[in-house]
Amino acid sequence: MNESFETSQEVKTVVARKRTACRSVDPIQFQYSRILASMLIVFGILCVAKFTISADYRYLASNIKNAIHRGFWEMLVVELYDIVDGLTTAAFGIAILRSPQYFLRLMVLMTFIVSANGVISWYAHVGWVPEVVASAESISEFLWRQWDSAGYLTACIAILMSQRRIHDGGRIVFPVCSDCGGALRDLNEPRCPECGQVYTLDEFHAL
Amino acid sequence: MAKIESTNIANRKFRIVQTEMSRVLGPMFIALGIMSIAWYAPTAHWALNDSIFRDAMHRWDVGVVVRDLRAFLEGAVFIGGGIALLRYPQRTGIIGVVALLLAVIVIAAWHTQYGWQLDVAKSRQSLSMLIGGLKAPAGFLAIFVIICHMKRMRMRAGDVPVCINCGYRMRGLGEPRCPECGRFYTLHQFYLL
Repeated sequence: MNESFETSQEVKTVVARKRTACRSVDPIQFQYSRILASMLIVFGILCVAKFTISADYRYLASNIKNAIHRGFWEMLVVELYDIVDGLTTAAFGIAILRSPQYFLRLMVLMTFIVSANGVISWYAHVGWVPEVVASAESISEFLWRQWDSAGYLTACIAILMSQRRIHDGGRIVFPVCSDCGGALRDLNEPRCPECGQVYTLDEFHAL
Repeated sequence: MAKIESTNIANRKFRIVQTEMSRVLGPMFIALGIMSIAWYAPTAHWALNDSIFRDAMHRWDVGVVVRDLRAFLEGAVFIGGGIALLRYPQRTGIIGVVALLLAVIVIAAWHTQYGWQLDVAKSRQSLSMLIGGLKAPAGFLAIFVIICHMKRMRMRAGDVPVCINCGYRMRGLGEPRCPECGRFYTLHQFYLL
């Protein structure tokens, strides 16, 4: 008796958590999070494929052993740059598909990891010699390694602005009561708070 | 008449998704374009001073020009596409055009560099260049295909709200909850479906 009560409580908690998660996702954001996640997965798969094809595994293995033995951790990032980039992107793409309510947070975290991967590999590639760092080749290398993270960062800012637009309701259309013209926003039931007109869900959707 | 009206409602709601998507992708394209051109700028000086490049320009050898100016051309396509998306946010076709142009640039540059010989084309470096270059076009093509698919599904469903989780047509319900997958919606979310 007690056990079944606890089980039903657990089920209720899980349902409540799912309900909260679903409520926090806007359908518009949900739809374009899916679109962007698919792009991230394609990016990731191609990065991993590029690494798999181009890597010379014997040379790579000896380099990795050397880096671990001597403690040159940044050398590891240089060697594994493409695969780290690809796996991070694909993993975050899948995470966004599975948990769209954390869309923006996941995008920001992914941008940070991809950018850090680029900076560390650039540092290991160029080193901190001032003359080398200031050279055109070094700047070009840095920009090349930050190319995708710059795109993701801009996307994060645009997503943040889009979320504000959606939640503030500035540009997004809210349904309007067909009788009195009142805005039907933040309602718990399909009933106009101004004139009391009640709608079925189908009528409400077609407003 | 009723059919046209219901399609218009579905259209209006899908346009919001399209507009928001374009407003995310537009700045992203512009940033990628600026980065590509900034990355290319130091190497452009060498390419323009190179006699092979000058000779190719003189002979209208498009392959060599595309190969040497690849990053610049990609940047220009990105910036142009980004501005066009911000200007016309409901023209999703722009994403497809950008992806296609980028793919053409990458394949032209790759072909000039390695040719069609299978032994060379199969080599690691060649395939690596091709796959690395096709990363961006493939990603944006995926976006274009998914938007087109979503639009077609939306149009097929007409004005009936469709569950974004499982695709169930939620007509004649008493509460905003999908009977198929159990997903809950607020009234505002339900209205936007």
